[in-house]
Amino acid sequence: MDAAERLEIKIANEADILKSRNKIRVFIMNNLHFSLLERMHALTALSELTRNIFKYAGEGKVVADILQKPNGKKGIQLVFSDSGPGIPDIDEALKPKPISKYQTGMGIGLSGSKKLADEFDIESAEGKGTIITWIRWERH
Amino acid sequence: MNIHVPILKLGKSLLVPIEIELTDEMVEDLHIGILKEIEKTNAKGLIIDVSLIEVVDSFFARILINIGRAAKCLNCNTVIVGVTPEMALTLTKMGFEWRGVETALDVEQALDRIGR
Repeated sequence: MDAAERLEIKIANEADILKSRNKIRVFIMNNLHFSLLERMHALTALSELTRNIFKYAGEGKVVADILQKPNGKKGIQLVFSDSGPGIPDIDEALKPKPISKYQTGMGIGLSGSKKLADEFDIESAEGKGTIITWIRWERH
Repeated sequence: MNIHVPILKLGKSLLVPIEIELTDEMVEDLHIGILKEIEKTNAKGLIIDVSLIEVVDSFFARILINIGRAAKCLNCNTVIVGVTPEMALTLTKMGFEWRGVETALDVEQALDRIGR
């Protein structure tokens, strides 16, 4: 894969969340035909999932790749990985939480990010860290 | 206080334009800063302008709702302005419920709602 089509960003503090957003915005604009709404979906999911890295694992990284289907349609794949505490119960973590639990629980960051994706996958276990794959394809 | 967000007096209301991304630490300062200003000025309305913010994620949306709820305890109504259609659609798609805080299209409309 062409080096220009891959981007790797470390997440170690809150400033990195914004830094990653700025880099991925340019990356999307240079490589994909996304509407403003589609770009907003990608940047919002990025914001939610990088914040989860910072909040739960302290540090990790996000790797962005441009994918292409045989029919020519392109998409962005974002892989978020950390060596944090992991998610003991993924099904539970993906359930939307009532607003009263927002303060302490995972809230809707994870479940909401899944709803913004075309393809979404979580690999995680307690004490084993977390790898989340988020993919969104061009519509036209 | 290490606060980077201006709090401006506008008639009987306070206008808070948020131009930079907030961190956890700044959020707490902003909360207390806004509430103290409401107390000091006896403001009846709080207008928070997010039109310069690119992405309103669930973290940021929750902050806005929490500030609005706290302001309500001080008899001050909060109106959020500058939410774009794309932001609104994204938050809705994520399942975020925008509860307890009003929105308006712009500051003018917010002032009409609150009363000048």
